[in-house]
Amino acid sequence: MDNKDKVSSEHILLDDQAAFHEAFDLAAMMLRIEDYEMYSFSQDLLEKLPPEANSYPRYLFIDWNLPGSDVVKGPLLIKLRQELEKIIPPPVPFPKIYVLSTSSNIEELKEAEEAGADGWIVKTDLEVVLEVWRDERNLTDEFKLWKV
Amino acid sequence: MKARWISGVAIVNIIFWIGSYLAYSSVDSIVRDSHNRVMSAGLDSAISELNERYPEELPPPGSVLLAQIMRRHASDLGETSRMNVVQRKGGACQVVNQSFIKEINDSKGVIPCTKLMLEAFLLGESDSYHSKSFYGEDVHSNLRRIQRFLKTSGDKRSYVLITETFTSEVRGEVNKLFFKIIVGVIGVFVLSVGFGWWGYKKARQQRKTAMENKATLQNVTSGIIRVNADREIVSISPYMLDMFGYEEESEIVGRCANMLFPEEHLEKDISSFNRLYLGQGTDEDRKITLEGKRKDGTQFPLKITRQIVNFPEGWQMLKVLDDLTDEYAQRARIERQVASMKRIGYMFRHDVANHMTPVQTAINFMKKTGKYSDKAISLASRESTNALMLLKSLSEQSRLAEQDIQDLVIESIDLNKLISDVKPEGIKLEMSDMGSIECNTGLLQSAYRNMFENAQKYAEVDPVAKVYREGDDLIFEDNAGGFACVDGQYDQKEADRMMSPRERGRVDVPGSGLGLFNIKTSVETHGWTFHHESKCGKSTKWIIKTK
Repeated sequence: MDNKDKVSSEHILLDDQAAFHEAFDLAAMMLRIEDYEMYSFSQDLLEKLPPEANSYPRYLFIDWNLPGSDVVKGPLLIKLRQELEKIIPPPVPFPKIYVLSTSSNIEELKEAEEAGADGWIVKTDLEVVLEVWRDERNLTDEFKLWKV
Repeated sequence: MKARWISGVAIVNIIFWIGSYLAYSSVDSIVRDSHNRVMSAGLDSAISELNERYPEELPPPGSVLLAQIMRRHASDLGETSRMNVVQRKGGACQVVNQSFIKEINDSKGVIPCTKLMLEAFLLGESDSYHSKSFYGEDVHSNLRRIQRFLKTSGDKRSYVLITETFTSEVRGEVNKLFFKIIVGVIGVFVLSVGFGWWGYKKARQQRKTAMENKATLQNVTSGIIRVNADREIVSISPYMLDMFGYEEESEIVGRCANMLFPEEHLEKDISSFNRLYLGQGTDEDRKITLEGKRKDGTQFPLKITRQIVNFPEGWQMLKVLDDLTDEYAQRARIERQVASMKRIGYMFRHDVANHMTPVQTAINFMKKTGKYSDKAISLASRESTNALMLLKSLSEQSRLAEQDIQDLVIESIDLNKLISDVKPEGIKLEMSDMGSIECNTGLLQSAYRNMFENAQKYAEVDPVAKVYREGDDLIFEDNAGGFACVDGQYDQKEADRMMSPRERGRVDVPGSGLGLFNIKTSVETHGWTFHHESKCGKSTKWIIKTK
């Protein structure tokens, strides 16, 4: 799926861990989510977003520990948002951004919220937590933590 | 200090003797006054009696008159009296107590008639005196004895009997005075002894303190130095010599303090030095950290605590110097350990979970769908292997983090044997003579084991490792197609990424992501450095520089 020319899916996974791509594949199969694409680097994603299109991804799952972001995770998220804002013109709905992490550290959650994330998904028991997320994702606009 | 103590005791003794002399003189004077007064009274009485009985002539022969005077000698205290009975040819009598006569003569104007009368007695034939002394309990009993003597001797001449005794009045006064003298003398003596003892104790304590200070100074691991306003070194503690690599005090004392600091740090020392001397110093001036310069020119970190002190020689700066080399090394070591432990903790929390999440998802997938899936099995197998390898590496990392080069057992080992021992099966080793090296065996084994594993894992042809030595460099050359190659070209950013923990060369190759990091840590723990030269598509030369 990484080789498509343009992003056309509703769900986007941005994670540099290849094994997690495979795990996401299996979880998506279990949850019958079919419209998703997976990327390892944010630049790859940005390059494949269509300019001035009518539709864009609705949900972005972004690994909190993106390559090179061991120290500054929030700032990188802000930068990604800014890049996306340049590409996605209003009034097209801006995609919801969910952070993926094995941690649920309160300070990191706060940093993610301040950086513009819409929620935080703890990626243990992946398909279970994704199922809960899918059921609840439209219930609130407030920053939310999903964990099992 | 000894001289001061001796001077103190001498002064106290002088005061003691002067005090004693003054006390004695005072008492002597009082006794003399008292004696004169009582003696005069006694004479008055005797002369009155003489005048009364013999108003116009000398006493008749055979008569005995009594006059009393006081004696003032302390040794004669008591009721005992002494009577000098003086017989005079021609019927008169005379007193031969010379001091008495002198006093009579000296008592001009006291009783002129008495003087005349006694002079008349004395004008007799002095060479024919007959003298006898009587001692007894009291004057009257003695008088009776004398009268019996005169009577039995048939002597018809007249006598004047002069007695010398003490009245209770004088005795009481003298007693009181002597009591005061004794108390005074004892008091002065006690004070003298007390002061002397105090001085002795103090001198002893000061000597002991001085010896303790000296011993402390010799054992203290801080350098102590005194510098005068001209920055001339006045004195140093013994440790200063060791700290700065000198052997004799004379190499430092008397010279300018600038010699102890490198040129580039002098300004910092001098400016704060001047501010302190001018009384404008701050806490920052009192405690500064800079580099010191040893005799051999090498530099080392120093903490200097300074204070201006008024010494007997004048205002000088007292500096306490602490060598921070060990402290800095310790701090760096702790920082390294903390960083390592934080990294390990982070990797435990995140990376192990990152491996286990796919494993769990794969198992759940098969459980929920009830289907056997090669993809799920492969994923679970690979990631559980990676998780195990990561745990093993983390265990090794935590062991490394706890150690430091100071704690390691460094020994001379045969490198040929060490490398041959850790070489795994399935890789060809071409090794020239490696000789021996001073190192920690466990750490170097770990480094070579990881290099062999990488060479084997990434090799696309039969793996071969060439191991040889170039001077102080230990070379390990593999044929695994090069390191950090992106699109066939060496990429520095990729190399940096691969050298950091948690990064793996290829996701399809099992690994912990810590192999290279472990090698680097093992090498750097020795104080060595780890380098590489990559030839993309061919090989990588891994270089351990031991110097």
